[in-house]
Amino acid sequence: MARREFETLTPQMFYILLVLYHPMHGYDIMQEVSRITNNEIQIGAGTLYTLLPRFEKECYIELVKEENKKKIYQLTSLGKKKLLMEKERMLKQIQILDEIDAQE
Amino acid sequence: MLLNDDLQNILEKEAKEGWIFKKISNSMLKFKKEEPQDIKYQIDFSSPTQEYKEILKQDGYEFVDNFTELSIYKNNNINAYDLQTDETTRLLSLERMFTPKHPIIFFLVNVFYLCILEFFRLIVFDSLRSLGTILQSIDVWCIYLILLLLFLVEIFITLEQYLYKCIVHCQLQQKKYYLLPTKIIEIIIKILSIIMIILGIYILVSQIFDNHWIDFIVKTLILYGIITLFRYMITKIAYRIESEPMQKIVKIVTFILYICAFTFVSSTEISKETKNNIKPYMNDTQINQDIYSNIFYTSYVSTIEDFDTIYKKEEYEVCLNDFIAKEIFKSEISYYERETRMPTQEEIDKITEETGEWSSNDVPYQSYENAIETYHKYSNSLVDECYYNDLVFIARKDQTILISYLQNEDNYIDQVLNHYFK
Repeated sequence: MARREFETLTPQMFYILLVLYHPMHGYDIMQEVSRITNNEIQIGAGTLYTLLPRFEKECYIELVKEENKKKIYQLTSLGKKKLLMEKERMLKQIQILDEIDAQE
Repeated sequence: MLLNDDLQNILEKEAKEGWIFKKISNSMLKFKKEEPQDIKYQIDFSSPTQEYKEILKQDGYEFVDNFTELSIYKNNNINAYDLQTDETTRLLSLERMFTPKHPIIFFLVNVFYLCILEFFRLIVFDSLRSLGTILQSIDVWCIYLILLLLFLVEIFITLEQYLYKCIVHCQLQQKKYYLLPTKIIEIIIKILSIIMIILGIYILVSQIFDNHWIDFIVKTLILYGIITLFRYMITKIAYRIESEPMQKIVKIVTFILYICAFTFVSSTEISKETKNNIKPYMNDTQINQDIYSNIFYTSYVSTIEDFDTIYKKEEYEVCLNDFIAKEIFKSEISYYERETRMPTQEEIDKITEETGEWSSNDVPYQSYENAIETYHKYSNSLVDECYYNDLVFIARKDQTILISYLQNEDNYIDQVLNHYFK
């Protein structure tokens, strides 16, 4: 069951992983996600702090250092792989959509 | 209630009417009347680390109260963003809350329950001989039933938790099969709890008939205090600690302290005096007096147990009404028939055949009809019925029963009856 948790990423999960290409702590993640999505996606603190330990457990992200009791995380190679798999999945969806749309 | 997604809405609606949410516990929410205001409430399941708390503070969230892992925050700015913005993630954290007990702990707890139940079962089933003996041991029956119900409730709660976990898990896939069984289990737990409360009230009431009632009330209050403190420590304080090892240590220490305090308080006797207003016939300097009582009868027992002299015992029982007195009289007849009879060789052989040895405890009780045959009837105008054998006599007058071992005195039975009933 634990394995299936992140079978597909929700947009919120996706963006959290995405911004962690650069090391960052919690509050910055929330700010950065709203910035790059033009405030379209807002991440709640509860959601973020539920996901961070779980991503760490799955080895998608790792703890880089702790500053003033703030934990700074960064994406791991496994996390990058996960994002690329997501990309493939989305591309496939788009491709199928295009195919069916073209037939109409 | 924990599953209820409407909890936030309820709190917000109450706040609009001026009822500000203050406290949450297992079974209730506590509100305080203030000015009606718009407050945004959020439910969260994350453990509150320093970093997390600071972020919440920056956005105007204020911690109100928690119950185990469920924390409730409020924000005076109703336009503040939600804490949980992703449904899948919210369900994942909900699921963690409903993790049933570890199977080993579950197993140990139940084995412990079964051991206690077995111990009580031996006492309780021994009293199944007749209505009279059941009436006499009604308190033990109550405790036995309460323990049995606790055991069942424990199992049902685990089952319920498991179902909750399934529900949360299935919400991820938009299924709701499990709602009905959970509702049914909830109702079963409620019914069992109500029966338990009724039995508990009975025990409380019956203690008031007892001599030790001050003792009992003081103890109950102290124990109640200890339990409340224990629950507070576990459900509130422990879950507000940041580091997980520390949280575990606090939980374990609290649990050990709780067990110690509980055993200490329940094993100490606060008032040692027992009032006894029944004066026994026998004259001796070393009379032990005891009172046993439940709501059906009160028994005053005076004994002298001295291995040099003949065993002396007088028992005076006051019952609630004639019917109960008759039933208890019957059970006493068969009880003392066994007490005063030397088992026949046939009986001993039968017992040794089964167990390899025998003790007087293994000798079976005779039914009242058979037992009464071994007694002689004694006529005295003071009492309704009176029977005696070589060692003991048992008399009944209306609601009172008198039992005494015979002593070497002239007209002993008459003397004792005169003493008690005149």
